[in-house]
Amino acid sequence: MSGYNNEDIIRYVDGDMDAAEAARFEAALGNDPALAAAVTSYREVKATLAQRLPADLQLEALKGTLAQQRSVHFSRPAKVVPIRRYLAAIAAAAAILVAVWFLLPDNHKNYLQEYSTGMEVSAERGDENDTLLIHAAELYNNKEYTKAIAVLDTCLQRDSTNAQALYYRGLAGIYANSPAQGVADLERTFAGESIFKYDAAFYLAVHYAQLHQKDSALYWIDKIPAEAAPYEKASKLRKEVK
Amino acid sequence: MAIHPDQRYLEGLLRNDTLIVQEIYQRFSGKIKHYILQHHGTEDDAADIFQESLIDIYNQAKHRQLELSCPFEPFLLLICKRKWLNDIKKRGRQPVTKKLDDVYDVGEDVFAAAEQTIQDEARTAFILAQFERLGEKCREILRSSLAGEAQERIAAAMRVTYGYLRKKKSECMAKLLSYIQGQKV
Repeated sequence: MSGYNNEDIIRYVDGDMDAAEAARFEAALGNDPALAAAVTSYREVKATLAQRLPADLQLEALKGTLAQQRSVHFSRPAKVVPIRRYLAAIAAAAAILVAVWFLLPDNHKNYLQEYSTGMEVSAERGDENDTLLIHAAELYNNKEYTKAIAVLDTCLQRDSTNAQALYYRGLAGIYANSPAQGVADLERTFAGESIFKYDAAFYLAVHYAQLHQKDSALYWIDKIPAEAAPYEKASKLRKEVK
Repeated sequence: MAIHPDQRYLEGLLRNDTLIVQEIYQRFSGKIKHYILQHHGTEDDAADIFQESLIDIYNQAKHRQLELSCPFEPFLLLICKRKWLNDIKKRGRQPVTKKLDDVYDVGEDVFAAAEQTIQDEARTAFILAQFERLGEKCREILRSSLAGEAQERIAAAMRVTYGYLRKKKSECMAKLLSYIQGQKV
């Protein structure tokens, strides 16, 4: 390819060549179909990764709907089994149940339960929003997540910059089984610079671990630096999902 | 080319419209179940193939702006059937000897649209599989960079210099390209 390698192609496409070098590269492109094809291929790879690597919340929601319809329209046909085999099957199933009880595999782990956390509120100003946060914390800690979300909604309507309310509404969302809003809130929390930033990344990882979406879970675990408070439990989660 | 009124199915998948998804299952899942049961498959296989095909169509509509110029039903069923034939070939159950037009009588436009979807999604799956072969650090760098995060912020979060990050990113991408060039789809 006219003496150019993959790193040169990447530097050219990414605009990292100076003007003179880029001009020489373009001249070679015109005369070298293999080099032109390699440039096209790199552009395709880059575009594909940019589209497919970020978590796609719409797709996750669609998968939920597809799974629901699948259970309605497809089923495993019941098999006719002779009675002696049937009894043997019951005995075997009982044995398996006992084994499963003691050796529950990781893919049945309830990560949300394992890493559940309480909502802590420190009343800073003693204003109306603090009162609402304390009320939301009571509801949240009683696992009344939907009611907690409604109170946190009010908090955020009054003060849209309240990172604490946003973070706990995100947590309540993923625990209330309405994950789309919860994930969006946690992603917004992570995008900000509050003290909840890495906790938000951790609970996004927990959420995806619960859904058995290992890549997405690892993606969020990777966002947590060693000096962040949730790093230790993130490392534990990493071992569990791998 | 005029967009077919069945484009509404693609739009329904894109916005996760429960009623449209329900309609797709009601109208079309029985046919693919029948086909796969007749061709060495189980009901579970049929459910998997149907679901995977709908996800492929969603991805094509979202990322490649797929617009239907043909009816949805033969398009969906051809994708399902093609996927199933490839699947049983991979499992070594039987050689695929039937041509697709023997399997399902479709027009050129349907065939072209389905073929494009199948090829694109196979290529994407291949690229993503090669990406997963990279080391953890490389994957993290590329994920962050391609997600549009500012390079300076990524460098700060990873506690490396901006220059090092750029160099590393280029090396990681070059390694990925070498994996892709070294494998056949």
